[in-house]
Amino acid sequence: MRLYERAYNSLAIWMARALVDDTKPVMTNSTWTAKYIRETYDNQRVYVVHPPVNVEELSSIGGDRGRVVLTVSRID
Amino acid sequence: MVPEASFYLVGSTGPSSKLVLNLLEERAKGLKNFNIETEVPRRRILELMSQASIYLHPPHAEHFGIAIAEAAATGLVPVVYRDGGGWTDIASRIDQGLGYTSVDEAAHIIRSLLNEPGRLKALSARAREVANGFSYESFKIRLNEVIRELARA
Repeated sequence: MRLYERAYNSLAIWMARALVDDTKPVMTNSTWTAKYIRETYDNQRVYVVHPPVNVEELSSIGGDRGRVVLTVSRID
Repeated sequence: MVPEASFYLVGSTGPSSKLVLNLLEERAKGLKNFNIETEVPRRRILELMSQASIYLHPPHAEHFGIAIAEAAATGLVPVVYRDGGGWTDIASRIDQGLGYTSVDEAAHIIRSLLNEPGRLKALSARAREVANGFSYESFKIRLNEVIRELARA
């Protein structure tokens, strides 16, 4: 992590701890986000719930896969 | 860097996208294996998903990464920046070798996968397994668990 990122994170953590009740439960969408919530808010009541995707629809997709590399992303 | 593959970048744009699109078009000048498609309907994305073997996620940390989970559910092998939820909760659970921290590393991983069809096939099956954990059913079960736990507290 770069020096300015560390400085920014330290400041954000200090402000967040001052503003937030760390006894309240928090739900996060990944273990990565959970780690940041635990570190930032010093909150241990973090529950990871992954958002759902339409596995039923997508798992039926197959085909003649080739040497194609796909990226789906908002472009901005 | 990987001339043997065709790359497709598909996505929506907004008011601030012009600058990025211009930059992408400038850098991609002369590349015959790079394609950009904007504002495509979902059926086109599904069509590309059925033709692709690999999903490449751009180098920034997603909190979760729905697009990565959808690609994995389709059987695409995700190659993901080695940070963020898309790495910790999806790609790294498929295989620790699918994370990159530089463009060179991403190109190397993609080339290796394309040169090892057996490994690519096995990882595709593993991607689908991991993605099953993100089904609506799994979501309902997990949410129910959390609510029960909170109600007990």
